[in-house]
Amino acid sequence: MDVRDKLNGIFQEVFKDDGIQITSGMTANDVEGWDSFSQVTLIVAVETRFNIKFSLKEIMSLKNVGDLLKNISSKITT
Amino acid sequence: MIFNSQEYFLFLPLVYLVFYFIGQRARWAVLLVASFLFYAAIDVPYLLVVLMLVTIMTYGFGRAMGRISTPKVKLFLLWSGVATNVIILVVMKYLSFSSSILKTLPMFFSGNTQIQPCKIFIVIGVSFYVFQAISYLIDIHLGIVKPERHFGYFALYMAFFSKLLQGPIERAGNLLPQLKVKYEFNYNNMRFGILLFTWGLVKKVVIADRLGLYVDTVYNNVSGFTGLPLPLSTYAYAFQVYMDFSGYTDMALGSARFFNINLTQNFNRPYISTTVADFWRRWHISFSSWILDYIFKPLQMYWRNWKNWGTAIALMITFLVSGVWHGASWGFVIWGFLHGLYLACSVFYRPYQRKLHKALGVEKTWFLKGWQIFVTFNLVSFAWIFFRANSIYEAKYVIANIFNGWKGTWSEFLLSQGRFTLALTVGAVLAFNLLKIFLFAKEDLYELSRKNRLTRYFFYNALILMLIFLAKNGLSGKFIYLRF
Amino acid sequence: MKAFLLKFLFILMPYIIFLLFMIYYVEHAVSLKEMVFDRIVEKKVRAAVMDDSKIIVGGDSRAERQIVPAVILSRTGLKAFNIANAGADLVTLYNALKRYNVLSKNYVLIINVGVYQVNDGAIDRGYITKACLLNLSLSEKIWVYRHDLGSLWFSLLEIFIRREWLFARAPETVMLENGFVGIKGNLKLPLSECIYQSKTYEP
Repeated sequence: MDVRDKLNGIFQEVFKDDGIQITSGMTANDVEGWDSFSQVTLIVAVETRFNIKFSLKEIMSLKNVGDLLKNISSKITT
Repeated sequence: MIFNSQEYFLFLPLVYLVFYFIGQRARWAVLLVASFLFYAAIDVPYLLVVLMLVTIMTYGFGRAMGRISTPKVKLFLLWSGVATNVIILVVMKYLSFSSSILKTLPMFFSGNTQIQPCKIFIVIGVSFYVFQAISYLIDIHLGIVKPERHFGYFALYMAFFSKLLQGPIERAGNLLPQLKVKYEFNYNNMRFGILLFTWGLVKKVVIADRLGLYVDTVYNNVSGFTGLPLPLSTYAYAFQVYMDFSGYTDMALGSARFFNINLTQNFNRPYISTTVADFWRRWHISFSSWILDYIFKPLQMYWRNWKNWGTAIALMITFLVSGVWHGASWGFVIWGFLHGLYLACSVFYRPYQRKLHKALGVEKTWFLKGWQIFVTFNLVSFAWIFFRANSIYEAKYVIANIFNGWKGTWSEFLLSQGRFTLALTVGAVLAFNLLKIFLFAKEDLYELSRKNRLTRYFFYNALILMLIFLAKNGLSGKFIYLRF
Repeated sequence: MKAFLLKFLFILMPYIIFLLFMIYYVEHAVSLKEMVFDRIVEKKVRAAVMDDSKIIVGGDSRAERQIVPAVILSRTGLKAFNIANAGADLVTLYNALKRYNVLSKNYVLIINVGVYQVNDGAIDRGYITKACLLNLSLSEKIWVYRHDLGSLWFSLLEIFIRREWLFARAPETVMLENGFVGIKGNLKLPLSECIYQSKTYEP
């Protein structure tokens, strides 16, 4: 299973929506701000499943799903 | 200079005229000089020095971060830049008691050898632009903005008089590009700018100041009251501070519109929030989104493996910082602590709350919404007690005596300013709300420009009449958020 | 830009005209110069005139609290009535006495007052009574209020709508019942106890 598919699976789990198809341009639609756990849950799930660790700066600099994919890919190939 | 003063009513059009007639290349300079004069007009010379210091240093750190490519050095620069700003803020705000050195400085500037009476250290504006500077540096680090090369534009970004004294706290990505756009006269912006400014002025001098008369009667003498006046004046304060601050924000946004600059909106009907989290998406938005993005989210992410506890602690810390930012007194700290507590608790009980609503079958009903608004408003008002009370002791007194009868309700509270003033205040609040309901109930004030001429002119005249007849005597009441 | 300015002025025009009219009226309406603008003084003068006192004590808060009719009565045997009020000035007092024909009758007047009663800002921002304000010229008015023209506007507005006058009427019984600082009746107490017992009027 390639990275994109695995990540897609994680998204579907976290957002409880089997119909999600991630695209590179997708951004976190964080209207909820103070109530939002989805970003945290997502990152934790990604870190666990791919067995990688993000630094705080990396997380804060992610602009969209494309960045996330790139970041994951670079970490698992090293 | 404060917005509701005759000086400002002369200042703004004058600055605009100079801005309009001078060539495009000098426009930023006009605004910058005007901003310095604006700041200087509050007659506290060392504040200009602080502003220049923060501006120059942040500019320097920003450019250095742009030139260095080593990540470790960049990080070090970021931390130094942020730390310097924080230190300046802390020194200015919290060491006012040991201000013996700085007390004598004004004497050197003004040549006045008389000893100034011992006053609270005036730090107007510092909290706002220091936070703005910090956001600039962090945004550079995260790659959201590039360091600004033109010192003039950067200085204007920091000092723009419209937002200098009480915010909004502007992100570089929003304000800097707007400052550089070529100015062209925009009829709608001029019109809306004046309208917004006038609307804000009405909120401040007609509603907020009038409510303030009653709030002050109780809160400046709490032991003279028990029972009903206490919660009534607390609710009145909730509206006073909202009208005061959103009025200021409207005046700031309106002033900026003259120059085709759109500052960020600070309020969005905060008292119809259904939860405290919702409240913080609607109250002092430029500030709450600042602490959300630069304190809460990083902390929450840093502690992501502690699940709910990580979030809860991140919330507590964020709101304690918020309390402390407002001032060096226990009242503000407790206020911040309370909000942090409200949010932290909700992290744990939200799932259960949802189940309860489902079980009771009230999900998505009007009844539930009304109840939630009521509860949230009361939670927030309870916290306002600590914000407004002159001391912790007095806040405790208020809380202990809320249900204690009606002493002083009628003659000492409601009639404390006389029948005439009470009638005017009630009339003003009524008129204000009627205007809002009939003219733009669900919409933004901006929608007014779409309505027909009759409606618009009716509204303009209603505002002017309210200012003429219903403003609290004399215009120059001080803004509440000015002291933060 | 021109269109905008014209429309803006057009909207403000009625208010500017109203402002000019009001200024003109306040400057030239003779009747205003005779108004009292202090309803408490008016009430007290009306009560005094209905009373049978031979002596009228007038002035500001100093006279209100410190010239006690009971003392005058015990020293001279003559009844006195105290019409003084905190903040009252000579112009207000004169207008009040003239309005109720006190000056044309045989009263003994004891006056203790500051001439223009302009509070020098020692306690608060300071004030100037409406009666005195009317006796200043327009440029003097503006100069006195130069830091706070908004307050000047409201003072002129209150004069224009004769706000005090609207509320100065009160039923006779109320006026006579509101026993003023002057204690009426026989008191043979030493001075210090008179002051302790005198009832201060709470507006």
